[in-house]
Amino acid sequence: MVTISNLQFNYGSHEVFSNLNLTFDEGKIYGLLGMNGAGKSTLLYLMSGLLFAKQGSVDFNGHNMSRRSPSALADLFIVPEEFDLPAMTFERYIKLNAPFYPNFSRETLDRCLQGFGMTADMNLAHLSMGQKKKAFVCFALACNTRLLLMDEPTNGLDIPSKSQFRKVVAECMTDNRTIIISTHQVRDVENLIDHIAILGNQQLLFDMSVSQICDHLTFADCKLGQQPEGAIYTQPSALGSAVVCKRTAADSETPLDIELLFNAVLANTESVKQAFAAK
Amino acid sequence: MNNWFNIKRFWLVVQHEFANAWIEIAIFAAMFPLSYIIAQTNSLTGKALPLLFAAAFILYQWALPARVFANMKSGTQCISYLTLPASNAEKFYARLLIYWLLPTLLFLLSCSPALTPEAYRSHVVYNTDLVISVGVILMQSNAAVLFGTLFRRFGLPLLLLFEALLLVSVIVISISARDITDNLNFEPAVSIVEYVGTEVDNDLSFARLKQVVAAFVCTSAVVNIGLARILFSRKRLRRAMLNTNVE
Repeated sequence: MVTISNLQFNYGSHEVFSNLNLTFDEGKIYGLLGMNGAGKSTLLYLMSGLLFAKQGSVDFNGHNMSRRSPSALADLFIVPEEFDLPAMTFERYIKLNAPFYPNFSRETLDRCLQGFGMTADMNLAHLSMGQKKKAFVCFALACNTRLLLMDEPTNGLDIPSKSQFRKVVAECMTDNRTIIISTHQVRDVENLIDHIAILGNQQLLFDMSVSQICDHLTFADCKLGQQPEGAIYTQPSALGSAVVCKRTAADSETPLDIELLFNAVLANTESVKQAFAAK
Repeated sequence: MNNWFNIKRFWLVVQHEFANAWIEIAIFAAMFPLSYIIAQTNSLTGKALPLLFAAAFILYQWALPARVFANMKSGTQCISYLTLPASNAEKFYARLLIYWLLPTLLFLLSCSPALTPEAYRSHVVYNTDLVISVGVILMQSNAAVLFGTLFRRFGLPLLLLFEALLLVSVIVISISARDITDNLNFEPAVSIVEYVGTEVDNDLSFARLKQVVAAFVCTSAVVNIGLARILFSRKRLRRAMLNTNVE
């Protein structure tokens, strides 16, 4: 679906990516994680052709994204962290924008809006930022593009809307679609994403599916002084310490703790990778 | 799918862009009748006409074309524009249509009181050579589009600065060259007044008016398409125009 090859990108003298290689397959929801300034948004912009790589390429279904061809753009939608919606009714917005997306579905839009408790007969100028975001996410999902990029989609959403967001995204997911969600709010996308990519130090630090992670690692809270042997990463928690361990044949599967995994990868990338090298 | 230019997609882009720009266009369009009324209170001949012409020129050949990309102030506005599924050419020509062709029509409409046969001899355009007049207006509107394209919201201030510098340069050169030109026996170009004749003939005047409009619109359209093509073929300019750095 999307292949990033030998990508190099700078902002002036600041190098963001150096020889980055990454592939996004269809039928998956990716969680793109990283520290502030790691290049999550930049990667989404490079994938949507908004930025040009210094070296390397971003290929989406055979399209070089730096060319920004209409056929590629019609199959891609980006929901940036901040966006502007014109001062008009949502119906008018749909009428003006939907014809650009051949797979747009009004039925999906109405279903998503209904999920958020909204209707299409609203004026975008009168909406709060959170309401605008919900409307925009609904429109993005209804476009049915094969690649959907979302940058911090849950920022500004209220608590019920965050769970509703997970529900509408899961409902709109299909086998030939790829959704990439860049976020710091990992709790908001837990149980939604099925692949995690972590960026850092101008490289891809970690790239594994949730099932692979659960097969190779365990996440647990331990009381003080009861830390298991061979822990890959430990951090203080309310109970004592939260621990990431390599999973052995005797261990049962534990729920994925994305926050803990993220901290483990940043603190001890090599040890985490070694846990996947051989089970 | 034709990835360079598709009429149906182009029309969608025009509708999309116009829906975002119509308030601005309407404000500019509404400004002219005011000056028209002021001009009407005096006389459509004499000093009111050059003022009317100047107001229309500044509004529709400078100010509005220079705002061709003025709404692309922030990265968020650029993202929605650049990720719209249309080619760069379609997006640029749609803007050109709205911010150059439409203002040109408004300009011609606004100057219509000055295009009456009675006003021929008193109007600044018709006291000058037709080709020179059209050429200057054409050059100015294209310069406004170019400045607006390259500098976006700073297009108009930079254009005004450029024009002021140009004017000063022309004045300085003309003063210094006056002695030389005075000694040369130039044949003045045929003005519209002579071209049309001293007798007012409504049919002939209307034909000349149509020629002015046709010459203006057709030549400008050709020049603008050429300008756009040159811009798009220059990688550095294309990057500057399309605001690739959205951070």
